[in-house]
Amino acid sequence: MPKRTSKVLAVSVPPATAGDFEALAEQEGRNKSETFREMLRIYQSFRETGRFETLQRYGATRARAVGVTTEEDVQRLIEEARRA
Amino acid sequence: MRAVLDTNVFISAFVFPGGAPEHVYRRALEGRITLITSRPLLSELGRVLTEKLDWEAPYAEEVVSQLVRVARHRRSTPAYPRHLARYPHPDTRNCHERAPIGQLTLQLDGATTDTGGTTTRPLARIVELQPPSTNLRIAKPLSVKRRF
Repeated sequence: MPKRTSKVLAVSVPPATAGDFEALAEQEGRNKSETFREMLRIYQSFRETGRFETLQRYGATRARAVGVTTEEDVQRLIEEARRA
Repeated sequence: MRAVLDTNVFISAFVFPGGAPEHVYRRALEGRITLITSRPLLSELGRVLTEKLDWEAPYAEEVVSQLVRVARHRRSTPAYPRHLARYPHPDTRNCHERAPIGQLTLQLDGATTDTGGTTTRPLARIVELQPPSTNLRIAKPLSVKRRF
């Protein structure tokens, strides 16, 4: 028996939200499944970008603390780690 | 488009806001390019962050976790070539991190390249890897006489 490549997902939303979603899909020229997949992809990207910016703020603070100010410094540290 | 970033580009993206490495990494987060990584690269990234940049382990682990979520990974994990690590050559240093043969690959690295007295820092280097069948198409076809 062939394995399913998709799964039906039922979600519950207010009628106005359902209308907005259908209108959005129509504007985009996509069906509702394609629109949902694209929305999910964008939301995942948004979350990963937020995580990245949090880590970058921490990373910039740590770099200043240890005196790493240029990309040459980074390369030097990597080469030190490779020689160790 | 698939891209291989070296460890220094990842680290620069995470410690220097606003630079070209961050720009490239954001494109990967947006799904506009596909990153290719490998276990040795992720291992080195975590080690440099904790041992050289004094990151607390949970933060370094979060960086590696994000790359695991965002990037594709080479299934094979060849051992890091020690001779390249000790005597890195600009043209060979990142060979072990290239994508599988047969794809047009944009290799993005920050490797310093010595060009006869002047030092440049290329952001992108296009490496076109072709399958062996390309050479077969270029070669003159064999003339075979059929015998009946």
